Amino acid sequence: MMISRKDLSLLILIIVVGTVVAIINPRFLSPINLSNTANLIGLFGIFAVAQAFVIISGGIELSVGSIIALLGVLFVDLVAAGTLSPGVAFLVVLALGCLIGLLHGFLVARVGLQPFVVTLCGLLIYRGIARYYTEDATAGFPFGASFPTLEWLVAGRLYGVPHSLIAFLLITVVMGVVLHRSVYGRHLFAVGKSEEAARYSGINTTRVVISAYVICCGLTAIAAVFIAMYTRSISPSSHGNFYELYAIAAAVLGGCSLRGGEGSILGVVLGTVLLQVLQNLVNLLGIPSSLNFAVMGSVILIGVLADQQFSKRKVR
Amino acid sequence: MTAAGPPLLRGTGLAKTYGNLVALDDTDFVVNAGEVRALIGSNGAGKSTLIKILTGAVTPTRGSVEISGEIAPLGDPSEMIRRGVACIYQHSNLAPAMSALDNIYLGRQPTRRFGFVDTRRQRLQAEELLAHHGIDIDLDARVGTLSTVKQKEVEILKALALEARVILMDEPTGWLAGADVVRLHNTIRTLKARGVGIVYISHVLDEIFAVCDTVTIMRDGRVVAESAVADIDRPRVVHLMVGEKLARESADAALKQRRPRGTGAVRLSARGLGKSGVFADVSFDLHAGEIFCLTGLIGSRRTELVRTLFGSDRFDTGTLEIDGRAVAPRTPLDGMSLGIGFVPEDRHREGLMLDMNVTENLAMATLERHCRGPLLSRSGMVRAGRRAIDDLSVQPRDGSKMVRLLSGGNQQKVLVGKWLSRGPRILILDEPTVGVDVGAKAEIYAILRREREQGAAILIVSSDLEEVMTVADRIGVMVSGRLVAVHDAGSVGMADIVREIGGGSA
Repeated sequence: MMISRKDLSLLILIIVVGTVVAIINPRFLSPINLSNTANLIGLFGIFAVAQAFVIISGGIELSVGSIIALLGVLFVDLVAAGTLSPGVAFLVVLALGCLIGLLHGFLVARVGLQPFVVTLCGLLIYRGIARYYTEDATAGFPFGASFPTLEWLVAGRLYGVPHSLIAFLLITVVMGVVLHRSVYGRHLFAVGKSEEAARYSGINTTRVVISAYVICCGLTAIAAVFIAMYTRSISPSSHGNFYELYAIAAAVLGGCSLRGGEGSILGVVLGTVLLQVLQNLVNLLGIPSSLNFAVMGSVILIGVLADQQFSKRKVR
Repeated sequence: MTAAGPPLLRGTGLAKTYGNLVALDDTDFVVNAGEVRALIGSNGAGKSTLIKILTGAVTPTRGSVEISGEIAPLGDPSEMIRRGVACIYQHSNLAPAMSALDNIYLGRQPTRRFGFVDTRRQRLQAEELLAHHGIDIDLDARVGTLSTVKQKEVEILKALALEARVILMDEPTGWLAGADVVRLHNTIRTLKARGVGIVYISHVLDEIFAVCDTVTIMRDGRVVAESAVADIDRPRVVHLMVGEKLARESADAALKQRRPRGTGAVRLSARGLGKSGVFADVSFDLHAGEIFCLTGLIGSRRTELVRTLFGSDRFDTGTLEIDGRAVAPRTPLDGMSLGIGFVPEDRHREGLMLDMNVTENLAMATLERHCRGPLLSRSGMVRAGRRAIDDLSVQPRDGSKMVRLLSGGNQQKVLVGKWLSRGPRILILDEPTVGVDVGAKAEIYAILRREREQGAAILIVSSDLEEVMTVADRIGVMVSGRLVAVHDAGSVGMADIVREIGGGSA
């Protein structure tokens, strides 16, 4: 696959930022730090890629954080109470995620509601349910409980590479093929670019939009399990807060247009990496962590501005 | 009727060229106070270019415009509006969710201190305007709930509130029923009595004879005749519009190639098709190997009709048979599986992905064919694209070019090519050459004739009579949602068609 100009400039930016941080604070390159950052990239990357599918279809999914909270609580509870084996619990959570996506897609594509409204309601509803389900208590594993296979699978490391990152890369490759190499991917871009023209080309636009939400929420469910096992205890009122914004930010940084029809998987991956490197930078350079969001917001704004200036010049 | 002093509007030596294409050639145009001047000519005659120059949307290559004797700066829409030239377009430019009153003053409400809208003053001014011009409108009604003719009146009021002295009306009755046309004409007469100059652009000759004082006839980018309406008759007008030589030539050329009813096999057969409130009782056969043109006024529901054949809309009465089998396509996908290809009217919104490249657009309706297993074969797409580009001579010959950057004619070739790649048995094209230059038009006609020779059944919706007379084997005329006549193209003249098209008030 050819790397686009956009993705290339993002890659260069990551390398430049990384180099600068490494020079100022060599701890950036320590195995522990790299491994931790890689883990976070894996965790956040899965649902960022998920978000990209919906954004390319011309929609938006705001309930990502709440889904992560609700499904995370559910998973931990099912497993900790021993109701279900971890494998079955995972399948249940995955199925629930897909079901939520189906509902969102149906409301958007069939009923004709605006994606922003549908998923904003989802954000409120799932968060509420998660809190009600645990009676606002923190969900976690009882003291001494241990699920070695599950823990090794989702939180283990292979030669120091966190499994979350490996899962993310696998998902990325599969989703990259789906998006860039399959008929479905073409249809998704076409619907995002111009739903009318797509319909007139014989594309079942309703089905394409619905499946984008199913893919998004299904992948988010997978991310929910990884994140739940990473934090191990989940307070339902704050777990996953603002994660949808991380996902949107990564997608936009990676070249997705909120108008739909544009974006690449590689871009989203690089966007996720850049965001995590920035977080790391805030920590390592001793910038007050309260400024975290401000740094992130500024970088995204500058990135989008630079991109717009670039494309303006290209059109002329 | 001509007032003393300089005319309200005078264009002198106006010309506009686009590259080698001469859209308008040394045209003089005058509108006096209290005059209703008809501006007529077939598509591509230069009417819209002239109008665009007068509204400031286009800067002419040569020439000047005077308004009440003062030279006006060209190519500046807001300056033209300030000087009193307003244009009412075919499609409404109103905000449907706002009241008539707010629409009339949209963008320049009278304000009080701190920028609050002075609603009282706004209403007083509007009522004064209504009384002065004798127009009756409920100012508080939401524009979207008003009938089309009342919306037109709101647009006229909006122009008058701007103190417009010349109002250009582009096909003002295109969407109106008979009684509403009369109402609009009465409004025009009232305006005329108040000294407003009006330019009335229409294809409906009846209306021109009913309401206009003078007529300017254009052809091939020039004014070919100017006359008082009282001094001219219909055959003469049609004759001037079409141009004798051209009419004879295109008729001769087409005659040699005409094949009414094609090979004889009926491919699509409609019986009593109807859609409540839209069109009714439409029956016709479309044969393999023929080109059937549906013509009529804008708003005669031809587009709505053909959309139901393809499945992007549904008919509710009657039967449709394709290859002898009763069908009722419900989605474009249904239409496609019945072997129908559809080139929609609005190629930018419904036809093409402007921000995708030529290859991707060409393959959009045939992606399944470019698959190897579950994966798309890009090289297959590129090969097919290259073939189509050569075949249709798309310029530039570059499949990676964004469709947005192509000329209208080449965009249309890409859109036609997208459907031809499916090898459609029935090809429906809605206004296939609007915004297409003369050269590309000829190429598109050649492509369609070639498809016809290969046995495709082709149905074209066109308002361009010259086009209809050139490519059609048979011609159907629609008036207000009914198919009123079907002719063999060889045995009917353009004048007859023109008469039938305007049949609403005849």
